[in-house]
Amino acid sequence: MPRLRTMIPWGLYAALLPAMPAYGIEATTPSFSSRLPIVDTLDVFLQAVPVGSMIGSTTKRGGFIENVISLSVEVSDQHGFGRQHLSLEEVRRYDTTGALCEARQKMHSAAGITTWRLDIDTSGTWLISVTTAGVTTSRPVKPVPEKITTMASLYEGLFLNTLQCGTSWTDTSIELTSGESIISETRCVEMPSERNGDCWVFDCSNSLLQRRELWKVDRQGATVYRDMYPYAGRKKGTAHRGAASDTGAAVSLFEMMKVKKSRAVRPGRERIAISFDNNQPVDQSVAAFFRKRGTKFILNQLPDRCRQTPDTLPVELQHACLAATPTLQTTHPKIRLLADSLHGESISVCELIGRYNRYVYTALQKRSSPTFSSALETLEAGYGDCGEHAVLLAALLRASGIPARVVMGIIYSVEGEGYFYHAWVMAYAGQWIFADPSHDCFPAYKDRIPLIIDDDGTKMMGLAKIIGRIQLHYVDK
Amino acid sequence: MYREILKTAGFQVKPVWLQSSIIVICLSGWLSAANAESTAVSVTGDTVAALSSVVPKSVGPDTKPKAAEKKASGATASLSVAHGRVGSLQPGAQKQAVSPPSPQRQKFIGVASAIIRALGEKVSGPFKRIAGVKVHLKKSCFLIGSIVLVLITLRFYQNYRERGRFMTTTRLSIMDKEIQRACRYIEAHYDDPALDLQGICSALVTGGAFLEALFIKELGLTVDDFITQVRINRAKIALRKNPGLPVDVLARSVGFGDSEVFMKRFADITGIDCQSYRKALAHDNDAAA
Repeated sequence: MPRLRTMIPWGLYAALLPAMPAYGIEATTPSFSSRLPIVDTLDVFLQAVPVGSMIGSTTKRGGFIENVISLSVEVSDQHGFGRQHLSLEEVRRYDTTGALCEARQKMHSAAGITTWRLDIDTSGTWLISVTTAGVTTSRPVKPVPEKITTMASLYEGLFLNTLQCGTSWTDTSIELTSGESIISETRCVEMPSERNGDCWVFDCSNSLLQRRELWKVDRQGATVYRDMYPYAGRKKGTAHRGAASDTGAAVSLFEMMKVKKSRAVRPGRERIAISFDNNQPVDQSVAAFFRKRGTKFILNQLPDRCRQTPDTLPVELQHACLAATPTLQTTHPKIRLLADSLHGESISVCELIGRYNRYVYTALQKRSSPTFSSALETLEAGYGDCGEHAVLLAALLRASGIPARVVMGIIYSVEGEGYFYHAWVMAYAGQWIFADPSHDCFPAYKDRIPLIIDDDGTKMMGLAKIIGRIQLHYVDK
Repeated sequence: MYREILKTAGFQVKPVWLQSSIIVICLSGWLSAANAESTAVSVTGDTVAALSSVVPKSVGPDTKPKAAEKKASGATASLSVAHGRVGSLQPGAQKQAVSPPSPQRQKFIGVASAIIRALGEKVSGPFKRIAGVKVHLKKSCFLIGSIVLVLITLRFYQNYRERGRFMTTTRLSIMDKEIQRACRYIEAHYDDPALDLQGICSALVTGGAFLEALFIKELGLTVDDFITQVRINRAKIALRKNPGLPVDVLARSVGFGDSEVFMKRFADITGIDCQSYRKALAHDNDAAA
């Protein structure tokens, strides 16, 4: 009777849970612990237009401390087709000592639900599993010493009024999509005073965004204002009354992120150079496409014709560019079958890339989808935006033995008068050649600037460092 | 719907304008609803004929100047016909018209219906026989008329805004608290040459990108542009008080480090250069004396 046996103890356990205190936290930070739950309800703004709301709460639940952030925004999509609703829920659970023991993140959007889940088993192995459209893939990640004790000590000082200006806390946390650790620093810069509306003021920054962000908290521990790039959060109901009638549907995140430029580069006469406002270098994965001059990185001439040349790709890289990843299921029979049926006989690599590119362009419906999907899902759904097109093409190319990678970067749009974020593919035919399946463009050598290479959907967060900081220059030859 | 209409007419739509214009229309409709109750009914086909018999009595030779005076109020009544009383086409509405209006009202109705008739004859001449169509034409005529009125008001308001007095107390009171504080801070510190977004943010303890976006959304100006506007306005006030003020003193007093930059900005914003403005002021003062 296995069912009965598990049911009774679990039921009892659940009933007892609320009564169990979080001992470690209770002992070290009694004031923080006694004030739980701490709940923040914020209006979320994008370009000062209210686009949604966010609830952040820290609660005591069954001996654990649970930190929940739920964000729900509505913005217009990149093509102005209408509203896009996005909601994100993140739950992090900490044990009695304040260490992270479980985390999950769920993203709802028009395209479906994507879930990331971090589990730590008894042997101390950390495992992140991603579920997109019902398919789950797992991979081990390096353990990150994430604790809630820093946050607890911050609130403790805040409640007891013992915080000092200049006190800072350094915190490590895990980013669930990439599994990388983020180091964040919070520094108290102001005590409550009339000038700042009787709020504690903190200066926050983290290694992911590398931006200084302002955080204002009142004496009760409720957030009054917080920068959350590209959004800003304000305590619910503190915006003026006109705000409620406005909707964020008119605000496009993509429009906001674009890099303004009134004209495209003149090929043959000019070259594109990029720089960043904090003088950071270009991402390591695309460094080969640029050459450095001062703080600027000049984009090399991209091959405008596909000519098959002898293979010079290092063996390890070749293996990496042919392997199956959670988003590029090259070994799946469906992908294999499709790749083989398009292959034909005695066809050159260049022709094959062109053929796959054309196939993906014609087979997929152009529709925006805010989550990132895998190749298999895209093939089944039959629609997608640039990301889905790129993923499917890369998977097909890999399945037929051509090294391929997914490139994320920016592309010039004449109507948009600027560079917009985009994804396409680079394939290897003796040299790396760009293929853009969402524009039916091969070789794609014009108006595209590669910024990051992401084969398995884990480098997405790398864009966070770039968005809003990139500057473009046209340099004479 | 209004947003689209206004956008096609080339207006930059601001929710505040919309709200205020809609409130004005509704208020005028509501206020004149009492007066217009019978006039509204008079629009329905048969009753126009019934009421027309009243017209010769009230619009006599001695009341003609008064009729001209009342034209304005007639227009407000017609507005209410279009907006407040659209539902008057129901059959029950005709019954209301049968009850005789008071003598004061009669005069009013007479004038109003004369206007309505005049309008109706001009516009709906070909459809005279079909009462229903006639009524519709009139209604749409009023609707279009009132929309045009609103558009004219908005255009006037826009021009008025652009002419410099962009910051009124009413305007300030309906704005976001954050931007109110920033505006007040700028008004208080415009003479500081180092005044900029960064300084305002650290003084008010708020996010820079957010404040900049708020300014663009609410005022259509960047923070820097707004600061320049305030400075130039202050310069104009100072010049009005003392037209003989030297340029470099004036520039410094309103927070411009460089008098050439000041001259350029002044010309950009006011449309005339500083010297001409000064001369025009002096001329006005002489004329006043």
